[in-house]
This record gives sequence, structure tokens and C-alpha cells, in this order.
Amino acid sequence: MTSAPAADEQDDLAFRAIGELGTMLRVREISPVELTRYFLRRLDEVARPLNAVVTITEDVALREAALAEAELMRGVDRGPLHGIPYGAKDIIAAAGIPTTWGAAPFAEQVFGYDATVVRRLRDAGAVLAAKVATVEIAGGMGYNNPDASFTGPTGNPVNPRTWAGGSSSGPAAVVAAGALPFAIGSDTSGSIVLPAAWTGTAGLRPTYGRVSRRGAMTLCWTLDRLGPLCHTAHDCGLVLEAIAWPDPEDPSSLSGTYRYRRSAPRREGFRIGVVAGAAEGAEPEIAANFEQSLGYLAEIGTLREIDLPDFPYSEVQEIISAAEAYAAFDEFIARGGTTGLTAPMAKTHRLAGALLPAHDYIRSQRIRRHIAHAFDELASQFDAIVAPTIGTTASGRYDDFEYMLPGAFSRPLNYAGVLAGSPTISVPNGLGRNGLPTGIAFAGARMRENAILDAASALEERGGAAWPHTC
Amino acid sequence: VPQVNAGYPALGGDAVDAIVDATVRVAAQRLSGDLSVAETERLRDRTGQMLAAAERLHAYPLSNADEPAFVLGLSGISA
Repeated sequence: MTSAPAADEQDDLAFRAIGELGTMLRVREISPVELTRYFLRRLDEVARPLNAVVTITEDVALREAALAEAELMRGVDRGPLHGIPYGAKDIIAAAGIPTTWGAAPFAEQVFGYDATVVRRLRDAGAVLAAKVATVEIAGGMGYNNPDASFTGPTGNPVNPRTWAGGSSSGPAAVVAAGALPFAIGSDTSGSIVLPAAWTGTAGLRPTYGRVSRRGAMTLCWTLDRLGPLCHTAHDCGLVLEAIAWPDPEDPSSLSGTYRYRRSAPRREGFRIGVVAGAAEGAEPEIAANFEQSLGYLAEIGTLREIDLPDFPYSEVQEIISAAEAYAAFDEFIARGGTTGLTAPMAKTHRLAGALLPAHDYIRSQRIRRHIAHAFDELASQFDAIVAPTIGTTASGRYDDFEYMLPGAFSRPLNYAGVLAGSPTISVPNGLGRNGLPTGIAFAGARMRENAILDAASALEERGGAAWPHTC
Repeated sequence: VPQVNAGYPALGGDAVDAIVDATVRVAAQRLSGDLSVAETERLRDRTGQMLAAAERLHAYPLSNADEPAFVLGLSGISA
């Protein structure tokens, strides 16, 4: 391997896509160990001040990088993630390393095993460099303040006076800061796609069951998903292929395998559904960016305006979340554990579900079956259904917020995808108010990640997406 | 404060009041009495909002044959 250039000569490494870094590793322009040391430095110097990092796993990272280096030197190639450093949201277990769930009551928690997703990434040759920040308990006990994490409010790398979003604050921030090429987040009701939109990163919420959740904190059994946050949609596909495998230890795991890499990904002929009134109430710049991207998409496909099926999405989501989150943490809640959390509202928020009638939960899941069927039937007519990911840009890092800001979600595409178990990717869609990133969401039918990844990639290549680099 | 007492189809307003009151009592017990007046009111509101959301679900028609989605380990994600 060649010697690494001086750190200040390497800063363009920070925002390189996985494929570019992989090429550099294979032509021996840089070694896995050098690349890992570079990102470890970025984590410490750039991401840590943003409160994006919980634990930098330096020893593990250098050991895994040395292994990757030795393997690549002798011609063993585990694929596109071989030698690439990454971060895991700190609700994901890694053996012997604290897994805090972002919450003071669990700050000393250490598991003796790796989550399946960590194991899969190790098998793919990726290098675990950090456990990264999350809103406490993935936001599951309720919060309306960005500092609802024992590591503090995660600053948005684009403008650290604003928040990175939640609950996958750390995964979004470390990628947006160029402190890691990719990270694994979790999503129960928007926790991957919303931080992605606010930080100018690509975030993929895969089909429910694609990625094993064994070893990841449970918030809601029937809603939780793990997925990647990266610089591009293409990178999300590469990571998903590495982590989407059947797992008999996760009852929700799908039996089939997933393949992303193909000889010729599509770049034209797309059928795009456009949610009617999707940008209504959104910030003007978000609406304008969305309109501009529709113009790009019209050049590479056909657009058709659609209405989402009429369902009580938010009510169904609320009742399922209330019941399952309470059940997942009943002992913690019952012993008063929420008093140890940072968010003031977390103290009582989930207690509201303590006596929720069981039949209301069942009713929600019965309606949900109709939602899943109707949305999948609609989404199957298209490669992707698009809407602004969220109608607002990032809120203040130290300001309480209200997710249901007027215009934040003028149409319930996010909740439709959440409840249907279908995949959604948010990719950057230009800048908005005060130079903050905006996002566009591509939602698809279940199991059809490649259709939305191809459409999102095509938009990125057409220039509809902007990818802010500021750190 | 949401109006949850007006016709909760399955249980009726008295039952809703009972759930809200019992929830507040359970919370006070679990939090060892460490529940301020303001927090008590927020919990009362939040419980009421949740039951109001549950009430709105009853506007969606279901038949006896409609099964729940997402039975883990049995049917996976099949809808």
C-alpha cells in the first residue's frame, strides 16, 4: 500500500462515495488502515463537537481495517464495503462496546454479542468506527426537544445552529459531516428519512423485514426497521445488499435475499406517481425545489398525479406506537425509569398508553392491513411515488419543536410507507431557507427497493439533487 | 383538552373518563407521587388525545373477517 497523503491533503476523501473509496483501496492509492485513521480523525474533530458520536470504536476499527488490508493485499475481495468505515446508531449492539440507546439510564449497558446487522457488515469487510448518536430510546418515550439525548443535541453539519433531526441524528450527522461514508440508522415512523432530508444525505428505509433487527433495541415490533444513511442512493443500495439477509433469529425477517448490483441500472422510462398537493403548506423553497425535480423526472419518465388512499394514517400509527412502545418498555416505565430521561415530556408520555384498550390496538392493525394492501396496489403501478420528504427545513438545535408543523406533512406519504411496510428513500433536493437542505422522498411497493433506488439515482445524476458539503 | 367523552363507540364516555382517571392514578403510583399538577394535566390531555384517536378509528368500517396485519413469525409482512 502507498503512504497516505497528509491529512490536510485528504479532505476531499471526506465526502467521497463508497464506490470511489473502494476504487482507491483496490488500486492501493490508500490502505484500509489509512482510510480508517482518516475517518477516526474526522469523527473526533468534526463529528464529536456536533454531539454526533457516542463511542469511537478505535480499537475495533483498526483491527477490522488491518484485517481488510491483509485480505485485499492477498486478493480476497468481500465486495464494495470491504475496508470502508461506518457507524452504527447506538441502539444497535456491538459486542463489548457500550450500547446506550442514547439514554442516561442505559449509559453503562454493554451486550456480549453483535447485532446481526453488525455481523453482516463485518462479513462484508466493513469497519465499525463508531457508535453514533440517537435521540434517547430512539425517541420512543416522546420528546419535543433536540437535546433529548444524554449526548446532547446533535448539530446539523450544514449549519450547527440547527438540529440534525431525529431519531437517527448521529447516522445522518456523521455522513453529512464527512466523518464516515455511511451509517446504519433505524426508523419506526420516519427516523431515517427525516434526518436524511434535514442534513442533505440519502436515507433508505427498506421493506419491513429486509434487514434483521436482532440486537437492535425494540421500540415497536411491527414498525421498526434498520437502514442505511449514505451520500447517495447508489451507496444505499450497496449497503442494503450487504445487510439484507434472512435471519431466523428475527421473526420479522423475510426469507428471500436481496440483490442490488446489476449490470445496467435503469436511468429512464420511469413511471412516477406525484402525490397531489404534496408541496402544499411546505416552505416555498421546498415547494420550488420539488417542482424543479418534477421537471427533471418528467425528462426521464412519465408523471401522473395521484391521491393517496383515504385512511386514518396518523391515528393508526399513534395507537400502534402507543401500545407497542409501552409493551416494549413496560417494566422500565412501571419502575419510573422515564424520570431518568432528558426529555421533560418523556416522563409521562408513554404512561398515557398504560391502559389503552387492547381492542383499539387490534383495530389499528386491522385497518393497517387495508392500508398496506391499498398502498401496495397503488405503488405497484409506479416505480416510485414522490413528495417532499418533509415540508420544513431543519429546526433550531436548541429550540423545542413540533413535528406536526403546519405544512410539515401536508400529505401522509411518510405514514403510508411506515404502515405499509414498504420502502422509501429520501435524497437531497437542493437547498432551502437559510441554505438548509431539502429532501425528496421516493416511496415504492414492498420488495421493490431497486425501482426507487434507480429513480432516485437518476434524479441525482440529472442534477436535481444538491449535496451540501460544509465541514 | 380534546373532547373524548362524546360517544366513544366501544366503551362510552364513562369508560373513557375511567380510563383517563385510572391512567393518572397508575402514573402517580409508578412515579412514586413525583407528578406535578402540570404533568398530571399533560398526562390527562395526552391520554385523552390518544383515546380520541382511537375513537376516530371507529369511523373506518371493518367487517368481522378483517384480520390484523403484521402477525410476527406467522405471516411476516403479508397484507
